[in-house]
Amino acid sequence: MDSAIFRNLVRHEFKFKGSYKKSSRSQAAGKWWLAYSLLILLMLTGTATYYAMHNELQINSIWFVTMGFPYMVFFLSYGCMKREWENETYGWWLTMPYPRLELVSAKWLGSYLKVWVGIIAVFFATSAYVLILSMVLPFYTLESVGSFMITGINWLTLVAGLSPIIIALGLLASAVQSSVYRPISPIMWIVFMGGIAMIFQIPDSAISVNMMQQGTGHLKAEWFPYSWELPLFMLLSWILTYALLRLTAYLLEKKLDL
Amino acid sequence: MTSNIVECHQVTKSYGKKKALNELTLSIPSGRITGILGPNGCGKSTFFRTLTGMVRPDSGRIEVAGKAPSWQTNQDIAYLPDRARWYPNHTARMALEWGNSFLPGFSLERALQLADYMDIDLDMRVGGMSRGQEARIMLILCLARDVQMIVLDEPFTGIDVISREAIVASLIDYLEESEQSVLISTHDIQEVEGLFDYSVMMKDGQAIWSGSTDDLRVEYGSLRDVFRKMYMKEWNK
Repeated sequence: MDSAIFRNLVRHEFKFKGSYKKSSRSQAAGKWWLAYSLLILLMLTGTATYYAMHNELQINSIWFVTMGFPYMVFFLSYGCMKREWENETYGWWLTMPYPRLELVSAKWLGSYLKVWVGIIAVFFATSAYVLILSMVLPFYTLESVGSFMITGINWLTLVAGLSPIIIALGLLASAVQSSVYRPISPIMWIVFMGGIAMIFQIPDSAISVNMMQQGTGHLKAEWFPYSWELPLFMLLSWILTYALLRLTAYLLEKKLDL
Repeated sequence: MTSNIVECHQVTKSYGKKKALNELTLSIPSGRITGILGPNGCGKSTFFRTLTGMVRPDSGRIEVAGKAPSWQTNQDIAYLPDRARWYPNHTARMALEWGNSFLPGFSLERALQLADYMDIDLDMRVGGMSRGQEARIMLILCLARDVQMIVLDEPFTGIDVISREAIVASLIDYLEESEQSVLISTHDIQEVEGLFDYSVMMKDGQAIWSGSTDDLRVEYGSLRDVFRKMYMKEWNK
């Protein structure tokens, strides 16, 4: 594998390349989407601020807003391959003179970098918001900000650690839809969606020490409230990620239905 | 160097009950501009996809420059896919830089010359271009490569007359002096009649005639007449 080529492939995948489907929406529809997104953000911030002003906001629970992250990661990677078909660019992509595993891995890494950018942006934006609350309102202290950040790092570590396999599942789901195995797609979706939901069991499971209670403020936040089984579980998921990427490359190499 | 750039022997590819390629047996000589002609659905695009390794035949043998198609052989093939589009957020310049980064044998200098010749605004977003302008950029990505074979699948489909004329003019200017093997598929032969020096007529996944275009004309008259005679049923649709 030529590292310069792979680096360029990852850079290409990291960039937002646009969508003809979205651009075919009318300009007015695009503005409505933006308006609704801003409205939802405003409502969430407004509601949190209202409860904070009445000392009824357990700030650690703000992290529950990000519970949808694992699904967003899945749809991010699913979309990054699906868009090659939607945009009708798959012919260019698939005939690049590089092994399919390299092409798929570049999509995987490009998506993972986007996930990291998202995680870091959300972490700093919410931490800044909580810091402002602690400076403006008497109910919150710097200690509560620290507790909020520790809880966030714990949760986002889980998301970041399990994102590799979620991204690989998204790519596989997309490849299956373009392959001769398309009929098994519905079953695959049910299994994948259910599988991702299991992430939410981890905080309550044996490999976690009551992370949920830390989120609701029932327990003091502490660093890495997981047992040694979690890193092992993540390591296994990374090995499985490689196998899934190979499977995706195999489907694109030998089982495409064009 | 093999005298034939493409060799197909009894290549079959089915989609369900439909045979897109039906024991296709065909040889295409090197260094010629070959027209792969036939009505929609006759197997032209499937044939090109097998050449570039996107589609694997169910049976038969296919070789490009003496090798089975794979991602490795794509190093020597500049391929314009059927109904292809380009990334909407790219500018024309970004598209050419993409070619420079990823396509072996790509000359950015030649691409810029072609862009100038084809009147492409390099800073314009592809998403804001007409289909004709977009098609010209994709054509440049193929023509700016110094490779053994250029494969253009229906490069004129959905393109306005002015862009089509510009594309044909650049193809004639550029390809006539080139020693590359060029395969162009089309179901619309009017504008490109003078371009091909070798022709393959396809029907129902088979090559029903192949040979020098001059021989074809001697036998049938103009390529338009060939279409009328060979594909009477499809022509009348």
